[in-house]
Parts: sequence; structure tokens; C-alpha cells
Amino acid sequence: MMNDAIKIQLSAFVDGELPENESELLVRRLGQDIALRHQVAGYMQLGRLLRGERELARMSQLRGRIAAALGEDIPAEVPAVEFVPSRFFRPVAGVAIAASVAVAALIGLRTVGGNNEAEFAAGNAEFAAVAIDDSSMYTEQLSSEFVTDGPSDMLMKYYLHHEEQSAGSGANILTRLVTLELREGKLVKIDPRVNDSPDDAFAAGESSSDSAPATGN
Amino acid sequence: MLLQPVNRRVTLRQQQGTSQAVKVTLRMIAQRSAMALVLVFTMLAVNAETVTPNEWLERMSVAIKTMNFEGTVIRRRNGQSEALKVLHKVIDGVVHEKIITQEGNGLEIIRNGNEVHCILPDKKSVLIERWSDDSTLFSTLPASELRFGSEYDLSIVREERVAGRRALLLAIRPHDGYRFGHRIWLDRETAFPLRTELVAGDGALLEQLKFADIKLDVEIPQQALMSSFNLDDYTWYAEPARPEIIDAESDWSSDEIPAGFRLLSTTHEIMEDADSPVTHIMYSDGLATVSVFIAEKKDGPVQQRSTVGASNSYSVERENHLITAIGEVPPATVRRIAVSMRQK
Repeated sequence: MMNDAIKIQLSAFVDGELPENESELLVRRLGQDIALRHQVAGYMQLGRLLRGERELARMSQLRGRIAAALGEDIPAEVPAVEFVPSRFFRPVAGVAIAASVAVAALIGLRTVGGNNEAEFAAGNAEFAAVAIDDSSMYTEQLSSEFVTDGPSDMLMKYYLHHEEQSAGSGANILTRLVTLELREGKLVKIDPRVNDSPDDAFAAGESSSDSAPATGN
Repeated sequence: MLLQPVNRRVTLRQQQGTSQAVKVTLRMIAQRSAMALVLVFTMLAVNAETVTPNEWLERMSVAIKTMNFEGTVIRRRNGQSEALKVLHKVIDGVVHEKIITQEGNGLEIIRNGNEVHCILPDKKSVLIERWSDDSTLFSTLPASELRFGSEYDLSIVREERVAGRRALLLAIRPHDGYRFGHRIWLDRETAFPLRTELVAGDGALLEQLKFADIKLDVEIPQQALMSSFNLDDYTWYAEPARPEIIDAESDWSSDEIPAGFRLLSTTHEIMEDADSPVTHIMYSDGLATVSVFIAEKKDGPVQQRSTVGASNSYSVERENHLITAIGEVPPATVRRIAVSMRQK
């Protein structure tokens, strides 16, 4: 059983924020405690799954996407959203890397130098058990299914809506930019010179379902 | 003539005595001042160290809401970095902000309160959006009223320098794998967040915002917050209609929500192109928020999972409905919530 104190200690250790003397003690304990090693493996595995996420389009692509929404050709230099393979070891901080490697060495995790989630998946079981807490084991599928295409139209609406509704503890500008980018073909052309006030402008947008969409150009 | 020297001597002696007295007095003053300074610095140091992490968060919340600033923010995600120039001014509690990308063709984002203009100079277009966030850059940071329960541990880790300023590193660590952790570097003087990071359970960096340079509490002229471009011949666009939201009760719930997540709200929302209302249930653990959307199942393939930024989604079919959980949480969290939803 892993209590909260140990969980926090492990988290700090993996973050490279645990004092050296405590790290030594923890490493010693990891060498003796099989259950604890499994828990650490769970943490590490979860991180890999997270790093398997698809590459997000950069802000520079926002222009291209909106250009597409405006009915223009996407500039050739703006690449389509593409999957960029994940990396196992990302240089976050020297200590963190050292800590991760130390744990990996202790628990026998595969310290592959490969840079592709699929390589890892191929070399491991199809399913990876991720220990989330003491009471339950949670099974997360580790396969190409995890890395999917971009969100569908409906999912895009859900993302946007979630962010709007969870404002305050939700979306920040960076997420906004990404979701803006997803709003392909859904812009509504308005004329601010006719609708000077912002409210009028939004009213125009909200009531313009019959009006020509922006994509019509 | 003799008197003069005597008197002079007396005077000199008196002067010497006075001078010595002055020196002694000055020395005493200097010593006392030094002691006072030491005392003040000691008190300050003690104060800085006795301020609890929660109090630092409260100070941060006030700083975000009230301070003007100008600087360059570096955004890092998935190993890539990009720079944004940011000018931020609060007038009567209303945020006025200008953000300029430092790469590409100079996308500008102008914010006046809730209204946001995204200006694309190369396309001569402006997209108008309405954002409800109080803070543009830092809305994902915990609010001052947030009380950390058993789901997170909040601690001051160490002092570092960020953007040339002394900063305290606050770590918010989750106790389990169902949520992400945060690291926040707060300006020691003002509690302004100079650097923020979203981190996975194994310490992997998911997202980072860092000021490369910053001027706090500077006077920003109104002109500087206006677009750099003449927008006369630009075409303006608005976002499409927003869904209609109605407070409602739902017969959907979960008995296996990860510890600490509580029901925030339940609404029915009529979305664009939707035949029937979508039920939207929100859960939060005080820091992370997860939305569950429940809609009637339609024909066609279901996209089981997706990722946008640090947000993940998971969809599952249940009782002729499509259930989708979305949130800035690990994939395992949205999956657990989605698959555990049941209709009473």
C-alpha cells in the first residue's frame, strides 16, 4: 500500500525536487519494495502514454487554418496537422532526467533510445497496466488507437464548449488558439461598419445562419 | 591674544568634544540603523518564509487581476517554443490586452474585456470572438478561493531567478494519476506568476509559459493596446452562434468518479446542427475540470479518443447515447469517467 506521503515523495523525486538525502532513502526503499516499484512503473507508464499524444499545430498554423475557413488556399509552407512521434526522454531538467533514469534502471524499465511510441508498443505488451491508486488497477490501451486524428466537428464543439464553461479554471489563451484553429469553415462574415457595437456584431453573427457563410468568399 | 588661543583651544576642545559626540551619535545611529535594517530584512525574510503556500496563491490571484505588465512570453509545448509579446493593462477592473506573435506574419490578438479581435494582417481579416475568461494568460492557474483537499499537495520548493527576478517555486502535486501537477514560479516581490508549467505524473512537461523579460506595474498608453494595422479595408468575421444553455437535472451519473471530483453543474445545451439537446455535466476537483457530454447516438463512426493541448477526450456508446468526457486531465481520467456514466 502506498500512502499519500510516499506518493508525494515519489512525485517530487520524479520531478527532481526531492532533497538528495531523501532521494537516497527512496532509491534504497525502491530497491527493496516490489509493490512500490510497480507503482513507480505506473507513473512512468502514464507519462509515456501522455507523451504519445499527437503533435499540435503551432500557432503559425492558425493563420493557415483560418485562411482555409475564409475559402482561400492554405499556403504551401503551412503544413497540415501531422503526427510527430513522441520521445521517451525529454530534457526537462538534469535532475529530473537523472531521477527518471535511476528509477528506470531500478525497476528494469526499457530505456529505449527510440523516438516512436509505436516502437515501444511493438516491444511491449499491447495493453499496459497503469496503477492509479491503491484500490484499483486501471488498464489503458497502449496502441496506435491512442494517437488519433484531430477532433471531429462534434468533438471540436465539445472542446470549445468545455473551455468556455470551465473558464476560471479552464481555457487559457494557448488552448484558445488551438481551438480557434479547429474552427474551420465555421466563421460568419459580418460588417462592423454596419454593426458598430460589439453586441450588434455578435447579434449579427448569431442570427446570420441564413446569411452567406464566410467560406463562400 | 592668549585668551583667544585658550578660548580657541577650549572652543576646539569643545568642538572636538562635540565632533566626537557627533561621531559617537552618528556611529550609534549607524549601528542602530544597521541593526534596524538587519531586523527589517530578517523580518522580511521571516515573513516571506512564513507566508503559507495558500497565501502565496491568494497574492498571485490579486496580482493577476490588478497588475499591468509588458513582456515577452515563451510558450513551450511538445518540444517546440514560440514567443509572444504581451501588453496587459487593467482599467476599472476590465482587462485590456494586446498579444503579438513574434513569428510568422504578425498575428495580433487585441482584447478589450470579453471582446477579442484576432487580426490576420496577411489575410486582411479580423475574427471577433467573445471570451469569458477573466485572465487571458493565466486562467488555468488555481484561483485564490481554491482549497486544496486531499487530492493535491501544495508546497514551496525553492527560490530561483526568472526573467531576472527572484521567484519562489510553488509545486502543486496530485496524489494520484488522475490529474496533472502544476509548477508556478511567483515573483517574490509581487507574487506575479513569472513561469508556469503543467506536468504529468512522471514529471514530464506538458506545457510551459515563461516570461523571458517582463516589466511589472508599468504605465501602458492606450495607443499601445490598439492594433498596429490600419483595419479600414479588413474583412470582419464573427464566430458562429453559441449554444443555448438551460439549467437542468439529469438521470445520468457515475459511481466511479475519481476521488475528489464533484458535480459542478448539469445543463441541457442546444448546439448548432444538433437535432436534440446535449446534456452537459461538469465535474471538478477544485483545479481540474472535466465535462461530460451526453447526446443521442447517431449513425457513423465514433472517434474514441483525441487530444488538444493538454486536454484529452474519450467517447463511449452507452444505452443508445454517445458519452464524451473532456478535460485537461490525463487520458485515464476521461476514460474512467466516460465509461462509468450510467442512466438511472
